[in-house]
Amino acid sequence: MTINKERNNDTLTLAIEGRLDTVTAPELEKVVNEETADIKELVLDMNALEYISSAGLRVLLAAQKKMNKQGSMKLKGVCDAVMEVFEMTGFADILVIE
Amino acid sequence: MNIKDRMIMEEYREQRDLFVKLGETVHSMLRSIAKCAGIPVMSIEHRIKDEKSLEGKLYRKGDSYQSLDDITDILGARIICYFNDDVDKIGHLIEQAFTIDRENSSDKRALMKADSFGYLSLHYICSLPDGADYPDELCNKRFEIQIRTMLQHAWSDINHDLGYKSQFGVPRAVTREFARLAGLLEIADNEFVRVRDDMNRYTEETKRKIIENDADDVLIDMISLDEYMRSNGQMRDFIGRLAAIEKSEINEINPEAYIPQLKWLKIETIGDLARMLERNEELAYKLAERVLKGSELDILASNVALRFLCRAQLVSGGCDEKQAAEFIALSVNNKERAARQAKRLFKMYADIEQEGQDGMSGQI
Repeated sequence: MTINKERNNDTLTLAIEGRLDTVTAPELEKVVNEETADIKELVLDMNALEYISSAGLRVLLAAQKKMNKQGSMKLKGVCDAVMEVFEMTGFADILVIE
Repeated sequence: MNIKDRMIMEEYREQRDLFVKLGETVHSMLRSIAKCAGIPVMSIEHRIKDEKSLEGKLYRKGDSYQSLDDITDILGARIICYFNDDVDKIGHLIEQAFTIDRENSSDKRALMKADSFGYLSLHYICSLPDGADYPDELCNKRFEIQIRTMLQHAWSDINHDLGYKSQFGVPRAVTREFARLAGLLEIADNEFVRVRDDMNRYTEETKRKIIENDADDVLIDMISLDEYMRSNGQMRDFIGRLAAIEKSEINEINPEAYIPQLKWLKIETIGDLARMLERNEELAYKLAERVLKGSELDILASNVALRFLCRAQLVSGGCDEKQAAEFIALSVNNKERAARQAKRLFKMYADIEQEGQDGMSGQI
């Protein structure tokens, strides 16, 4: 998995590429913990994300909870396979998906 | 400016940094007071009086001040609340947290004549409490804390902008307009408290009905549905069964997003929902099992229970695939994907039915 970061004023966009699973989720967690302290909007660009596991869902849930307190978070470019995981787990009701 | 005023200005310049430090300390104490008491506040703010404003005050108030210590609002802090009964709650906490100069503190609400309407706010002149671990140079400084509602704040801010500091020059008609608005906002402040209390009463009553299984006629809304999902025994058992499929942890989330879907299915009351659960629990479980089993997804949102129940109701309640796609599009926002999901749902339902029939013939 690779994460490309782009900061624009109060907005941080993280473009996630590859698989978000047990091995790679801690990497995203680290970026979210370290780089979102002073931002108001977190955008997760998932155009190149192919797969997400429970570990990835947990990181997204924690990020959503964090951003609810200081601004907002949205996901964009979610592919069908990942969207299906969001829907079958009920996460589609938690996350803001464009 | 006379010599005395010039000396006060000199004192101000020397001590300004101390007031900045004091402001940060007071601000942080106020934030902690509101947070610990769980009182929602719109904002907490503080400011150090600037030089120009102090000069103006000295000019207006003539001989009132002998030294900077006589001026109690060099540091001013303000808490703006949503509800007017929170003003007193916060006031009480401030009395406990700070040393209060009673002689100079004032409750503008109590001072207002019974037949007048105008500036309402609770003002305290305070200093940091004795015996706490604050630097000595901060402890002997007085400052002002104002507590008011957001409506009182709006009135005061606009009034201030239009000439609060030169009250005598305000035309009578404008003064009258402000008094009328103050009366209107006072009523609105009381109404907000009433609406909040009504809402709390409704929430408590709804919770009681749901816990006591007496909610058949309760209409589905964000409060009743949330409480039903959290505390109804049969629903909790169902959520537990879904969690057991992959040994998932359940994240409780507000089910408000499902209200339009339930309305589409003509599920209007908690009784309707309870009957839908009774009729469809087994089918909903089988649908969930087909989707979740083997997925290794060991985290679920509590709303999945409604998702699978609604889908079970769709296929068992006589909807066709086109209607199901229309229903799914309520939440999916993409007609093609909704159509694909509807198709898959009916395929799963047909498979479940077939398995049921095979099982029956096996038994015979």
